[in-house]
Parts: sequence; structure tokens; C-alpha cells
Amino acid sequence: MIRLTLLLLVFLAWCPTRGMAQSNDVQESLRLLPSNTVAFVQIPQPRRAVEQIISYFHQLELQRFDEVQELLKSTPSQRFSSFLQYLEKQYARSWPRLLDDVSGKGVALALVPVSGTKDLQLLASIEANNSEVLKQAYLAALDVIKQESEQNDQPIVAKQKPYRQILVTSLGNKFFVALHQNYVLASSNAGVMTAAIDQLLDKNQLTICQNSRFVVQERPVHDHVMAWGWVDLVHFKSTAKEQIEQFKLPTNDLIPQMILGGLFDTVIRSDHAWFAVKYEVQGPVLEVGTPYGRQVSQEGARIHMHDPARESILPLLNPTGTLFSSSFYWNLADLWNKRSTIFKEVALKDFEEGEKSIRPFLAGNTLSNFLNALGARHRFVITQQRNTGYAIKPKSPLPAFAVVLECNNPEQFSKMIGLPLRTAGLLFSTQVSMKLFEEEYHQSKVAGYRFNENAKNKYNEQGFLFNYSPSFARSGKYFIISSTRELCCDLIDELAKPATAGSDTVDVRHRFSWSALGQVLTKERPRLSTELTLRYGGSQDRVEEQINSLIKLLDKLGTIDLTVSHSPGFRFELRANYK
Amino acid sequence: MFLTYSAAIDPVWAWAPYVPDAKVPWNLEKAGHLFRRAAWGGTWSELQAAVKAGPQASIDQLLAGREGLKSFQERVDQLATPLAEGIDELRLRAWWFYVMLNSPHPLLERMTLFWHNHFATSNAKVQDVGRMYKQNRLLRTHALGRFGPMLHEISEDPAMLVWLDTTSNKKGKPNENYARELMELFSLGVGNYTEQDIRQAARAFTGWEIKSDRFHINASDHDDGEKEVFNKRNNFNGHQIVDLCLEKPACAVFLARKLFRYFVSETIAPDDTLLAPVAKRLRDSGYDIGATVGMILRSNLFFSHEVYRTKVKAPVEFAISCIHMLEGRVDSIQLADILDPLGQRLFAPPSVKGWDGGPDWLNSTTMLLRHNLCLALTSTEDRRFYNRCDPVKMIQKNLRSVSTSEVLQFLVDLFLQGQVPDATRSQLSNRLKQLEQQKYPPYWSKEFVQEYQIRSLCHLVMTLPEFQLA
Repeated sequence: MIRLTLLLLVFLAWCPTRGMAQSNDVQESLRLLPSNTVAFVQIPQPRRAVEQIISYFHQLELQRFDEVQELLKSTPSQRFSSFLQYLEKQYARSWPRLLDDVSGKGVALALVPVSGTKDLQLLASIEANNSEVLKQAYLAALDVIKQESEQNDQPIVAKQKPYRQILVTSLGNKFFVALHQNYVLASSNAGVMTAAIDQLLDKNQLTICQNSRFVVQERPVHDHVMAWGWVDLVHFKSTAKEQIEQFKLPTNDLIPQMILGGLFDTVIRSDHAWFAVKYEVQGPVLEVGTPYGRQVSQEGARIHMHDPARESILPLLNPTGTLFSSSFYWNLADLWNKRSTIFKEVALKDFEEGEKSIRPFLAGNTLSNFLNALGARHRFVITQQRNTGYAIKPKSPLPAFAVVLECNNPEQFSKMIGLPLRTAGLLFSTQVSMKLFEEEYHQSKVAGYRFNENAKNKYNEQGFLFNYSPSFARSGKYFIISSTRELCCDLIDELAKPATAGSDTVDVRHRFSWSALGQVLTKERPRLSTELTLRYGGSQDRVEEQINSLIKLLDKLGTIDLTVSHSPGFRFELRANYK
Repeated sequence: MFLTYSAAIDPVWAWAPYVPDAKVPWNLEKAGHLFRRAAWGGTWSELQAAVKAGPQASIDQLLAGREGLKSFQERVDQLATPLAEGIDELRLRAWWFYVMLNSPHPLLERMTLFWHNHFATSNAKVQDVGRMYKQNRLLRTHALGRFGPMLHEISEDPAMLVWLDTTSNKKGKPNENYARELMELFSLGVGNYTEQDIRQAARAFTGWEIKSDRFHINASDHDDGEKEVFNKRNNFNGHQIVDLCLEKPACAVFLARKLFRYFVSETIAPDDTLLAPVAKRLRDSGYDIGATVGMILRSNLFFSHEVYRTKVKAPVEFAISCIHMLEGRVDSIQLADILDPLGQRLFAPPSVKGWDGGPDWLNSTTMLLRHNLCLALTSTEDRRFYNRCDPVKMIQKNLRSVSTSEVLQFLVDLFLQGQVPDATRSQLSNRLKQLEQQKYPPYWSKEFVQEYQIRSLCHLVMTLPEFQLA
């Protein structure tokens, strides 16, 4: 028991120390970035990042592709590889160790303003573990750059000038570089370079860590951070004041607000954003975040943000051959009911006029009734087509797509939407020849249109119409609007499967399936074979091998998930899920 | 370039078969000339084999093509199927470049290109890649065959029916476009028909339309009445008008002139006397194109000093020959894209007259673009081509020595068959010296330096003015 207590005490003592040490480390590694930095990206462990990229490269077997082989065998790659071998030989160590020696304490790239102007310039800093090796590699690299430049018709002139006893080398007027102890500084501007040297020599200079908008604790502490960074949104917003004003609520921009209102609100309210690229076993992950989310958002922006206290968005639909599936929160009833707080006069007038023009198609109902009968959690899918249901094949086969709307009052909603959909069909039938169909499918009534397979339709836009058989159906509390009858039926089956909504804070979830894309390509093999033959000009056997490798790669890539949540802060995540 | 008249050239000597002798020997220069005109230039091994085989055997081989043509055609037709079903003209152009680069019968492709310019049809109006592909296949089928069947089939070709408005040529409202071009540009030339002939002939093509993507005669739109064409009266239909054109002596002279310009010279304006033997051959052989091309290629005039390097390489010819001589592969889609601004967009000739060609191919912009293309191909650093056309690999394959002076001589022999003015030779030597004296980065191996020098020299040779001429 005593031993356990002691262990606990040691652990508790260690935790804050570790946190402080990390915080201090971060502050030290960012010491060269001035307090007015407007954006930066840091690679804390370059060697690990490079090794991880190489590991993904092998995991995905990218070396099997002609394109990759050509890149590796290209003259610039061969020269780079030769340069690396030269350095390895020169300093008697392998490249991973060499990389650790010259950049082991991190690399940072920043955008900083030139003193007294709004002009942004690049500043890079490299911190080495071994100052002696860094010095030698630095001098060798300078020599190589000079000599490579001499191969050009117009060689770049290298000049050297000391600043506070540090020799600054300039190559043309857009590249400045300097070495001091275990630091290398590089910039695209002379003024930024001298300021960076001041920052390096004067310990009392203000750094990014003293910037009130930079919150060091937001730095991702995940062990597998490949790169992370920070952006000062105040700076960028100040350069786009008019555009920002346009999206502040109330606004006149009807459509952008309806589609991206949540994101606009986040950007308008937040003074900074952070991002990180992590490497995880199943693939890399990109995260972007800002501090402000739903809690501080305006009413109008909440049409895209669900209340975390209530049910989350619906699970993704996954009918056979799904290429893309999306589930999102979009409360149009709220948008309508609170329109006077969201929109200004012009947009409100547009709304009113819009309502008037569609009223004849709502069978005596109002737009308010219509939107209030609609729910807030909707889904969208794109699938490859197994069967279009037509004998005539379109020259450019396109995937099928459908939206599945959640309804608060499904009975009322399907009655109300039926008339406009049928009216649109009737109007369209004056342009192209098509027939209305109605059928019972697994207790749901499916209605839609099929284009007549006549010569006029066949030659209309290369048979484009035969990609579609627009259909709609009600299934429980959901209403399906689909580009094809086949997908509509598949979705009725999907919706019949038991599924429960999650309890997370996610407001938008998209999934793209590389594997399904691979299946599409399998069907399009002749087209792909032509494409690769024209691209590479190799033998038929080689082309077939490349196609097999590509389909295998797409299968390995699995899926890519994108999620957005607004509680507590805004968070965007893009996650690869390799198989 | 100066246009000279052919009065001083004896037709009997001109078309008599070339027999090598001490005065006009068969050598690398002659072999290079033959491959520039009747193929896409020659690789080093092709030129060496031709020098060894002699002119007759080399010409026979070019006319017959190499083995494997049938299976190659099947393969490329298979590759074209998805393109013909789509709408991407760029990829159809790329497909033709692929065929040109890989066909075992380069002369057949050159002739297909010739007929594409003769029956110049543009997808800008046709707007159907599938129809353009079918027309291209038709031209290839007859490229070295007989002109008569080709003229009949092209008259029914859906792309041509759209291009020259035959589909809107109806009884009572004749559209004269096709009838006019049939006589003016496809078979007779100006001065060999009257406006009355055109008006009457147009009636014979009424009711020609496309149904289910195929040629179809709509009997109700066809004017079956009597017409008078070339002083002959009958109720002619379209095919009978084509036959009337083929029967006129002017048709053979017209074609002979076009073949002369394509194979022999752009700077000599041949008179009818000089062309008479070629025209006679066309008529006597029933318009056998292959036999007539063979006669031209075997002639004294073809191998004479007067016609040596008197043609400007067309952009397609220039690009394909660069790649072929470098023994490389290429991304045909990139190539199709790059070649557009050089002035020859396949499947989109500027007008029904085709490309003017000759000196019009060259101006300061197109010369710069030609130089850039050579740089992209030879430098191996351009992402569009990488090292698929690496001169180093080609030289290692053909030349044992890697001494830079020998490499330079080899490049001059390969691309220009040693025929360069002294001033150019000294310019090349200076560049070689400059490359040898240049300082290179310390990590560059000896091989790296040598490869860099070879690529630089190769680029320089390919950008010489002499290399722009065929």
C-alpha cells in the first residue's frame, strides 16, 4: 500500500513537471518566431516524419507504379539521392542520423510581416542536435546551390554580408540564409532575416508564445505529430474586412449562409486556428480547430450545429457500391422560423418572393408548414450504378445519387413534396420523352420517371439521360429523392435495417470510399487500359499489371472520413483509414 | 524558301528509278532523306540497315511495313473503342500519336495524315469523337490502297456528311458544299469544272443523311431527276458523280501534284509535263496510291540534290520524328496538349483546305515552342516526359564509345546525317568545349557529368535550323 502511495505521488509529481517541460520545450522551439508571426508550421521531429512518410509509401506499395518509378529515376531524384550519398560518405553516418544531427530539434516555417508593412514573408528555422555537422552540411549545401546555379544560363549570384557578426548569404534578392551555432535561419526577405537574427541573439525579444492569441496548451500533445501549426485569423480577417462583413449576421447572402453559415460564424468569431497532421497506424490524420463553437455561436449559425444534449446526427448510409456517403445536421425549419434574425431586408424579400412563386406547387400549404414538417438530420449518398435499368448505355456513365431527408411529420411532408416533384416532372416531359411509373417496393410506394429508349433520347447529349430514372419514395420517417429507381429501392432496404444515432458531437460526417472507386475502375477496365497506354506507352501486359496495382492500391486506401463538430470548439478532422 | 519552276527538269530522268553510282551513291545521307520523307526519320539501327540493304529493298520494306501490322491494328482499335464512345477529342489525338509512334507501318500513318489534310474534316463542327475516329480508320484503310473506293466511302462518311452539310442537302433545297469541295479540293482542282457542274452535282447528293449513326439515303429527300454534269446528262446519283470526277484526266494530275508536294518538294512548282508520268501511273493503275508513292520514292528526282531538305517538317512530323529517333516513349496525352500551339491540331484542321504547311509552320513563337519541346524531351527533368526519351540510353545502345567528341559526331550523323555547314559544326565544337570546361557540383559523379553533357549536346543538335527541314 505504501509502495502504491509512493508510486502515485511520484506519478502525480511527474505529471505537471512533464506538462511544464513540454510547455517549456514548445516555448523554446518557437523562440525564433517573433510575436507578430501570422502563421507557422512546425515539424518537431523531421527524421520521424520522413521515416513515417517512407513507411506509408511502402505500406501502400507505391513503388509498383510506373509514375512513381519514373519520379524516382528522374534526373532531379537521382541527383538528390547522389547528394545524400555524398553527405553520408562525407560525414560517415546514415541519412536518418544525419537528419537528426542537422534538424533533430525541429524545423519551423513561418509567415511574418515585414516591419512597418502588411507584406508577409517566409521565415524558416532549423535547429540541430549537432552544431558541428550542421555547419559542415550548411557549407556543403551552399556550395552545391552555387554550383547547381552555375549550370543555368543565368546563374544566381551569391553574396555574403555580416550582420551582428553572423554571415548572411544572399542568393538573388529572394533568398537569405545564415548559420549560428546550432541554428540555420532562412528567409525570403533581408529585413525579416536581420530581425530573426536579433530574435536569436537577444533572449529578451518577444516570441510567438507571448502573442495573446497563441495558446500553447492547444498544441497537440499526441506522440505521433508529424507537423502542427497555428494561424492568426485576426490578421487575415483584417485583410478581408469587406468579405467578413458580408457574412456577419444578419446577412443578405442567402445561399452561402444556408450552406456554410456554421463555418462562417466560426471563422468570424475565432481569433486563431490551429492544425496538426498526425500519423496513426491506419493512416495520416489532419485536424483543424478553432476555440469557439456552438456555445458562443449566433442563433442563425446553429442551423448547422446540433444540440449535443439531444440525439446526434444519423449513421451513414451504406448501400452496395457506395462511393460517398454523408450525414449532416441542417435545420431548415429553424432557418425559416428565425429568418428575421438571420437575414437582412433584401434576403428576407427574396425569401418572401420565393415563397410566393412556389406556393402554387404546395397544394395549399405554406413554406413554413413544409419546412417544419422536414427534420434536421439528413443524409446523402453517391453510388456506382450496378444496373441503370435501360438497354441503351450512356456514352459517359455517371454514378447515381440520392438525398434522404428526415421528416418531423413524414405523412404531411410526403404529401406536400409530391405535388412539386410531379409538376417538375410534367414540365420536364415537355422537353424530353419520358414516362411516369409507380410501384410498390417492400411496402414503400416508389414513384418516378423513366426516359423512353428512342433515337431522340439516345442521341441527346450522347445518351446522358440514360444515367437517370429520377425517383422518390417515403420510407418510415424518411423521404428519399434519388437519381435512379434502383438506388431508391436500395435505400428503402438500407433504411429498414436497424440503426441508432451516435451520441457524439459531430455535426457533419462524410465518407469517401477508395475501395468502391476501385470497383468502379474494375468495370471501366477498357477505358483505364486506354488511358494508361496513352500515358505510358508500355506493353499491354505492363498496362494490365498497372491496372491491377491501382485497383489493389485503392482497396488498401480503404476510406477517408471527414468530420466537423462545433462543441465545445470548432473541430475539423480528415482521417485516412488504410486497410 | 524560294519557289522554282520545274521546266528545267526532264520528266523522263526525274521519274526513272534511281540507281546508285559513284556520282550519286547510296549512303547515310540518302537513307536519312528516305526515312525523313517516308517514315518518321530513322533510328540509328534503321539507317544502318537501310544503308546496308540498298534503296530498293529499303523502299520495299517501307511500303510493306514491318510484321505485326494486323495485330497492332486490332490492339489500337481496341484502345480506341472507349474513346470513340466518349467526347474527349484530346485523347483521340493522343491515341493517333500513340499509333504513329508505335505502328510497324510508319508510311501508312504518314499517308493517313496526308489524307486527313486532303479530306480536312474538323471536330470543331462535327462534334462527335466517334465519327472522327471512324473517318480516321477509313483513311487508314485506304491510305495506300485505291483512291476511287476511298472517295466513294468518304462521301458517305458520317463525319464528312456533317462537316460539309450534306445532311442538310434536300431535294428542292440543294446545299452545294460537298459537291463543290468534291471537285475543288478532293479530286479535280479549280479550273476543271463549272459552277453549273457544282449546282447539278449537288442535286445528286440530296437525301444523303445519317440514321442510327450510319449513312442512309432518304428517298423522299433525294432528287432523282436528270442532271447535266461535265456535259453528260442522266439522272445521276452521288456515287455516279464521284465516278465522273474519277474519270476526268484532271483528277490524276490533281492528285499527282499533291503527292509531289508531300513527298518531293515544297519549293518546286511542278508543271503538268513533269507530273504527267505520275498522273499516268495513277490512271493506269486504277488510282493505286501505294504503287504511285512507290514510283515517287524510287525516282531519280526524289533522291536528287534539288529536293534535299526542301520541306519544312510539320509539327506532328517534327515531334514524332524526335521521339522516334531518340528511341523513346512518351505520354501521348501530354504530347497532344503540347503540340496544339505549334499549329497542327489533329482532327481540327483550320478549314476545309487543311493546313497550308511549308514555311507557314515556322515563326518566332513556333520555333521557340519546338526548342522547348526538344528540351522537355532531352533534359529528362521535365515532369511531363521524365527520362522516357533519354538520349543517354539511346547513345549507350548505339555507340560503344562515350567520348564526348564521338558522341557529338554520332548525334550529327543520326539527326542530320553529317550534313551541317562549317559554321554550325564550329558552333557545336565550341559548346562541347564549354561543357568540358564547366565546373560541376562535387557530388556529381563522372557519369552524371557525362550524361549532362550528352543531353545538352543532343538538345543543341535537335534545335539546329537544318533539323527543322525534311
